[in-house]
Amino acid sequence: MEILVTHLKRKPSGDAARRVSEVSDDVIRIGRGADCHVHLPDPRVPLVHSEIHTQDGASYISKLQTLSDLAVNGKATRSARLNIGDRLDIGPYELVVTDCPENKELCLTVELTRPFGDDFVGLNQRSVTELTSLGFGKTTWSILATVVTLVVCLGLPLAAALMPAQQAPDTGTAAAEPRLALLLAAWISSADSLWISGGISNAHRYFADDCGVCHQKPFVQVKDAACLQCHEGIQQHADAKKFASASFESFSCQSCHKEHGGLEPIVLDEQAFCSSCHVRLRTMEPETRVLDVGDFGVAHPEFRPTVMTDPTVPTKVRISLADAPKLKEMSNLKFPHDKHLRRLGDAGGTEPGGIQHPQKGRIELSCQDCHEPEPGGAGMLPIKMEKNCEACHGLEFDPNAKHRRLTHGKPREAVEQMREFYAMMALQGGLQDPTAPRVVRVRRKPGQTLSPEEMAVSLRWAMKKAAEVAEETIGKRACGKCHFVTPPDVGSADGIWHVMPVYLVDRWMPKGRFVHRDHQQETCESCHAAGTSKRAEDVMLPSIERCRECHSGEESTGKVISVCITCHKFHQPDMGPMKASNTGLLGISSLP
Amino acid sequence: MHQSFLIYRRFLFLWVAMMVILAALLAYVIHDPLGSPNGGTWLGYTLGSIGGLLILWLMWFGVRKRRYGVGKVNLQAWLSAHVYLGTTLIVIATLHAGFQFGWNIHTIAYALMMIVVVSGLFGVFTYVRYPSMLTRNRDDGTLERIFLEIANLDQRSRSIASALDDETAATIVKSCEARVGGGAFRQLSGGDPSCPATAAFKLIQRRAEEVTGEPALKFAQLSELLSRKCELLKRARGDVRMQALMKVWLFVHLPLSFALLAALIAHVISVFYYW
Repeated sequence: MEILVTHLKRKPSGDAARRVSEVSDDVIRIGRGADCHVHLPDPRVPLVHSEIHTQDGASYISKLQTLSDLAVNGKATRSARLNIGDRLDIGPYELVVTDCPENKELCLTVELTRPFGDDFVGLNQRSVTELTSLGFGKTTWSILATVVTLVVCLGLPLAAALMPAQQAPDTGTAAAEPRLALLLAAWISSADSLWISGGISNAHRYFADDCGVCHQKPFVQVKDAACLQCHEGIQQHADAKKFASASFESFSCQSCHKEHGGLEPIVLDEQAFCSSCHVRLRTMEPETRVLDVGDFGVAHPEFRPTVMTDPTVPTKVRISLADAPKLKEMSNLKFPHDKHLRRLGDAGGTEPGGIQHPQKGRIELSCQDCHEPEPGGAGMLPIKMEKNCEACHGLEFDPNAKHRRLTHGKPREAVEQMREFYAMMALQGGLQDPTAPRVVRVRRKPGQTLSPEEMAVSLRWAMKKAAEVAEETIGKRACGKCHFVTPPDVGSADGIWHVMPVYLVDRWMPKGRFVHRDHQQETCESCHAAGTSKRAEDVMLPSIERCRECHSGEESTGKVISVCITCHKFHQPDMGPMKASNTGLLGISSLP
Repeated sequence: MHQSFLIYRRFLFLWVAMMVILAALLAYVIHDPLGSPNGGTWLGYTLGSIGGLLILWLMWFGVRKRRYGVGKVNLQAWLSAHVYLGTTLIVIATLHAGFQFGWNIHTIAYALMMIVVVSGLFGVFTYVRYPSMLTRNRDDGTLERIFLEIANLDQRSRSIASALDDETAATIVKSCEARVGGGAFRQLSGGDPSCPATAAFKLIQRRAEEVTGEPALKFAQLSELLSRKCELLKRARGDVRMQALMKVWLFVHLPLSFALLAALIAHVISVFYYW
């Protein structure tokens, strides 16, 4: 077949330059290959793209490669009959079947309709070389970040602060409002916990969720009234009327107690806080009886226990442990610790070792036999005669009636007990006592009565006997052994013996805290010299140097750090309230 | 030249910053408050005020930067002060907080501030390091020149490939579709795993070894062209990467500094709401 191929090249003016070539062959090949009749030199076209052949006077085009594109009049196809006016799209070329002169079977125009274009321009268009957005631009991100931060950090907590406390709904209850709404409300209402600036001390944790308990008014510092809701009546440090520097008037609770520091208690324990005044207290307050004190290890004076010096008044005085001659506790008791604590192997002089027990013979006593720790282990329970002494020091008064004991602590009753006893003995008769009158010694016959004279004799004897026994027991053997006693007044008829009242100081150092239980690894003897104490007047306290064997001040190394409040309190009892309480008109605290 | 904001006036603002840090550290060490150090002691309030005002002044730099030609103090001085004094915030804020951190908005504000400062320091790093690297990478030319050369290589390789087999021609045509950069991630990575030029290069290299005769010369030429193109693309992508790094930190630095401002406002309000 003979075909005419016209290559068109568009000019900017719109006209086309033409290059015409004639080809003649049985089958016309179209492709990139140089041997193709219709040479389409663009690399996007396969070497051999398609063929045109004639059949029965008509021309047909058919694609030779399945993967390449061929469209006839816009429709993709593998092969088609060619008519005048048909438009073929082969790669970037457009071929149009045109009207032909008679000697040609087919005429085609070929035009490169999709040239490559400017590679440089194309590269620029395809490439994105500037970082202008990261999902969003910087402005959008800034707005987003600001809004989110304001909501989370300001909005939600503020909403929580302003709304009343909500409870999360129980799992079982059927609520009127939707459960989700209640959960959300509960969650939002706790959002002001995002504002917390530090952990709450352990003792305050049970109301830590409700900031308003202490922060009662917004933008107003926590006032003393908030603390006094619970700590009402917290006492002064010292007598504020007498010592101006102890009034702490310009201080609020917050001046010393700082919350939001974590779980630790908010009690100030720094030594410097106390010693800033106490190291020069006598200069600041000349009236004070407290000695100047600093660090426990190096600047704490010797202990000055409060000792009973005159039981008749009674008078208690603080005497330093260093002042041995003056250091005597006048309790009106007689008690030798050394005798009671003798060891069995300690035979010396005429007495064997140990101490005599009425039933058990010679025994050894130890501190625990009489001194029981009180519950909590701070101090010891008070010594009670009935509990701690009577087992050995029974108050019998008659060897023939050992079961009869005098009541301890009541001398009048004791005398009367003895009188009643002997009166009964006299009335009963049959008494085996050669010194007694006959009427008392004689056995009564059944139904026998006593004459008035006999009764008088019996009673006189009973009273006399009671007085003798009283002198022996109260005066010497029983009461007089431990107490200071005075006989009945001369000229008085009541015959009542007087026992000097006993004044045992409850605590030798009432302003200092000492817990025995914390020291239970030590022996009693290591601090209390009981084994050598002969008299009850001995104040058996250890010197401060004994404590300093283990304890020292804040800056110590290798010793137990003991600051002022380890043993002392700031808020002293019975000094009067530190702050006037403020519980409102009705006296109702603002706690829920 | 980019380094000059660091050495501006013989490190004037570095000295200022060091003095500020020293003063803050000294005050912190000497000050012995009741309880533990925190933002509510007198030193805490002082450091907090200084830090807050510093943050506001640092953000003003963004405004000043856009006032071209206006202002008594030149922009380089502003930048130098911004960088050095901004870095002191690390110390000032930490001492203000007394090293107390927790799950609350105060620590959120602190964290935002730290991210802003660190992202800024990263920005400083890129500004100091990358400009000279960019110049070297471009062979003292421009990115545009590299593109022009790539375009030229495209044309030439296409014209050679049009005489070769279909697969080679198609591959070469595809290789001219290569692009530089793209989305943020692609720009920052400095590579393109789907680069058609690299694929074409691999194919052509393989074929160059197999083919003999006349086409072998053409394949050798193509191989050389593609090798050069891939190298240029690598340089161009490296260029884009460095420029992107010099910009990406601002996407953190700016939005989070506004978030920091919001958090700071919340912090101050909350601290005095529950005083």
